[in-house]
Formats: sequence, structure tokens, C-alpha cells
Amino acid sequence: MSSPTVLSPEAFLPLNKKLLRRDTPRYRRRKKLLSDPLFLIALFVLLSIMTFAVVAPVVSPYSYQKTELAKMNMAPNLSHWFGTDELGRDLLVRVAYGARLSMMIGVLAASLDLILGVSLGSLSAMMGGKVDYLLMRLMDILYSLPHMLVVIIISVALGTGLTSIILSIAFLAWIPMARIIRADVRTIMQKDFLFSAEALGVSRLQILKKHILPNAVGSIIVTATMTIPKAIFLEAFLSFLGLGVEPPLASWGTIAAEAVSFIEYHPYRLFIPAGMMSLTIFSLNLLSDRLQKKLILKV
Amino acid sequence: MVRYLIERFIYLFISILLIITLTFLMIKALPGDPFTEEKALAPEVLTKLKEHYNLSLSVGEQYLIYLRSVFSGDFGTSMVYPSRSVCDIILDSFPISAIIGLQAIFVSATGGILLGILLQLNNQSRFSPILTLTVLAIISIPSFIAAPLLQYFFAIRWDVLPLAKWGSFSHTILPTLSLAAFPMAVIARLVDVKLSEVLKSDYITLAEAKGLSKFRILFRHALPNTLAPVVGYLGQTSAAILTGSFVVERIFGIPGLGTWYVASILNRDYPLIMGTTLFYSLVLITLIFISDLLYLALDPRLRRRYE
Repeated sequence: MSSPTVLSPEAFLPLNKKLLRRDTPRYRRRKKLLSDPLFLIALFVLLSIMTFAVVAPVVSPYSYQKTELAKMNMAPNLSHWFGTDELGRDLLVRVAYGARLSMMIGVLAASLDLILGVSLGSLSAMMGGKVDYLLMRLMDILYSLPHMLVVIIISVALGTGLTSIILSIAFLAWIPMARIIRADVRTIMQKDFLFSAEALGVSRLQILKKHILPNAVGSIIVTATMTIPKAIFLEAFLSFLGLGVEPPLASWGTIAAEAVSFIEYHPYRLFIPAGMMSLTIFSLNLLSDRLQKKLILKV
Repeated sequence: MVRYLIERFIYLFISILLIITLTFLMIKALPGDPFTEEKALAPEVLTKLKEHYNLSLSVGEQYLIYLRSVFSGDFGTSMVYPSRSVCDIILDSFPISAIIGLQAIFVSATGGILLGILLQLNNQSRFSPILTLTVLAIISIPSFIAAPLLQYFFAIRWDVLPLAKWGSFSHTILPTLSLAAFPMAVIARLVDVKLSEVLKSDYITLAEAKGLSKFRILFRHALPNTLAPVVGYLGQTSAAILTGSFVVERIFGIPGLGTWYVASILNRDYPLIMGTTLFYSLVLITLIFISDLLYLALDPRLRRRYE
């Protein structure tokens, strides 16, 4: 009887590793996300609008602020695809600049919100006791203020301009993020692996960095994607109140607000920027909706 | 329960005080004053004017004077329209805003609940993705974009409703719709989510086992438990509707408080900005307070948690 060929365990290793990697929750989630058509559509639309915002002003022969009164209020045509405004400025370039500005405001507000929300939320959960109590009460009180009115008051006081818009939006926007992070961190802190980490003498900062935040990353991403459309929306709202960016700068909000008085004869002036803005908000909402369904970790 | 009420009352008070202080500080931080543009004013007249409006006092004194007058219900007179007190302006124009606001709250609540039920009923059908995307699309159109779009189609293109201004019921339809669309979609999503949660609970399985009709299960057993959080959300809805009305009133040329508010911001009319902001905050904070209490009253499970 010949001895059967014995394969060493190492021979299985490459295969095993690959299979193992496929079995991690992270891999499965990513796979699920990338096979979701709605998620892909939203991502595609967002990327196209971003590309448009970056490329259009570079390629186009027109400037966003040069006025040409001979060409005022032209309907969309071959040389001006989106038409022109009452000062003869090319709307395609202006809408592209508006996209840059609106998205920048959205991203900056969301990052401020991320920094404040994550640090205060995890601080509150990890310190517990009095710090937690005081921070939570502070959030309760701040959150019971009428949001829009506070945004208006702050941007009236700070004057018009990008910084004032971003600050006024971020002033209250961090609270939902902080609350969600706090709740998340508190659940994660109950887990056994954290007790082991503590018992091993890992420092609190290390625990936060290595164990808690990676596990809370799902809700952080979802909340951040929800903040961006809110910020874009608030900026446009401020523009309609006359508190937006100063001309000749243009955001989607200011372009749409300028167009409202021309709606009767030049409706395209509103339709294009408004459609762009709504499409962006829609894709971001869809994205966060899909992420929420597929990404939130169940620790 | 009593403890909860007291706690909420304290919050109510602190938020109102905070809003008063915040408005005051912010307005003080503003560059310029309402007299900067009248270059022809003699210095003596300017001093007199500043004295009249207490602008020559220290900020602390001004704050105390303001606090005292606010608590006695006196918001002062408008600086741009000196013949009118802030109180008058609010009392004159707020009823107009309130009509549109109440209509919008009604439309968004009923429409949202019906739409939410529709979403849930079509959960498994092939229309489900279309419905979900439609609701998501409505959420993505802010009221200040919806307003001119509705104006364009209903008033200019098809000419079935008045374009703007104020008067008959037909004037209120478009502003109401543009304000109601967004909260309606939010409520629809809320109802959809809550309803699917409720429909999974044991007592619904029991009702099915008893052989009750689908209709009865939905409307008699599931819906009441779904609506409690919706009522809790109505406070937020009214806040969104009221603040949305600032711009919508302006677009439709409606002489409501929102139009005055925007004008006061542009004119830097301090007393009017402070008075209106304070008034709006009071209304909003009270509405949210009431809807929270209603939520608590409607859902016995929540009440038990506070006992």
C-alpha cells in the first residue's frame, strides 16, 4: 500500500487567504454596495457634475465675470449652451463655477461638522459622568433653537462671504453627528474586545483610534453624506435672502435667485442651475440612503 | 411625567433667553447702522437720533433695556418705518403667513401620511423603486426652487392660477404647495419606515391569525402606532414650513411676516429683525414643545419610560 500524497498545510494557504478575505464583513459590504445599481447611478451623476465643474471653466472660451451687454439674456444656443444672463455672461461657465462653490461649501461644512461632531461625540461618550451630562445638555439646548433663524442671524452678523456662510451652517450642523457618534461609541464600548484592550493597558487615545472609530466609520460616512446636501441647500437659501456670496462670484443659489425675476421670459435661466442643484442634492440623498442601508455596521 | 414636563419647561425658557441674547449680540456685531447712508445728517441730529434709540448707551445697558422691554411685550418701533411699532407689523402680517403655514402643514401631513401608506402597500410591487425615487426627488427640490417652477407652469404656461400677490383662496394654492412638498415627502418616508416596523410586530401577526381583513389591520391596528412619531415630527415640519415661507412669500409677493423679515434684514432695521426673529423663535419653540407633548400623550409606551 503506497502512502497517499500528503499535501502540506502551506499548499492551501494562498487559496485560503483569498477565501478568507472574501469572507470579511468589509469585503461583503463593499461587494454589496458595488452591485447596487442605484448607488452606482448616484455616484456616476455626482462624478459627472464634479467633472463638469472642474473642466468646463478651463475649456470654455468665456469668463464667468466678463459682461457683454450685446449678448444679454440669450436663450441656449450653439455658442452659449446654457444661454446668457442679463449682463451677457455665459451661463455654462457661471453654473460650473457655481457648482465649484456650492460643492466646496458643502464639503467644507461637512468636514467642520465631522471634526466637531466626531471629537465632541466621542469625548462625551468616553468621559461619561459630568462631562457627558453637560455636553448633552448643551446639545439639547442648542438643538432646540430654530436652526434656520440661527443661520440667518449669524450670517447677518458676520456679513456676506464664504467664511460666514460656512461658519453659520456648521454652528449647529455638528450636533446630529455628535449625537450619533456618542451613541455608537457607547455601544462599542460595551463590547468584550474593548475590555480586553483596556485590560492590556492600551491608552484611551489608542483605543479610540484603533478600536472605536474604525467601527463607527459607517455611521460617520452616512451622516457626513447627509450634511453636504443640507449645506448646499442652506447656502442657496441664504442666497435667496440676499445673504449669499458677493457678485461677481456665483453659487447655484445666487444664479437661481437672480433668475427668479426673469422667469416669465427666460425660464431656462432658472431651470438649468436649479436642475443641477436638485440633481446633486438628489444624488447625495440617494447615495446616503444606499450607504445607510448597506454600510451601517452591526457590531 | 411631571419631571419631564418641568425639564422641558426649563429648556423652553433657556432657549428663549438664548435666542434673545444671540439676536442682540449678533445685531450689535453688525457693521454700520441704519443712519450711515444719510450723509446729510448734522452731527447734533445724529447724536439726538442715537440717544432716542438708546444707541449711545453701553452695550450692557442696552441689553438690559432690551430684555426688560421684551418681557413686557414691547419690541420697539421700526427704524425704517418710524410710524409703525414692531408689534403692529407682526400682528398685521403674521395672520397672512399663518394661513399659508397652516394650509401647508395640513397638506403635508395628510398627503405625507397617504403617500407613506401607499409606499408601504407597494413595498413588494414593481412600482416600489419608482415611488421611492419620486419621494426622494421631492426631498431634493427646495421650496425656493419649487416656488418659481410652480409659478412658471401653473401661472405662466397654463395660466390656471394667479402668478403672485395676495387676495383670494386661489392665491394661496401655489405658495402652499411649494411649502408643503418637501415636508410631505419627509413625512411619507417616516410613515413608510415606521409602518414597516409596526407591521413586523407580534400583535399584527396575531391580528392576521385572527383572520382580520388587511384593511382593518392597517387602519385600525397598525396606523395609530405609526402616527405618534409623525405627530412628534410635526413640530419640525412647521419649523421648516415657517422658515421656508421667508423666501416663498418674497417670490410670490405676499405681504406676510416673511417678506417683512427679509426686508428688515436687507434694511438692517435692528428692532424689526430682533422682534421678528424673537417672535418666530417663540412660535417655533412652542410648536415643537406642543408636538413633543402630543407625541408623549399619544404613545403610552413613551410615557411609561418617564414614570
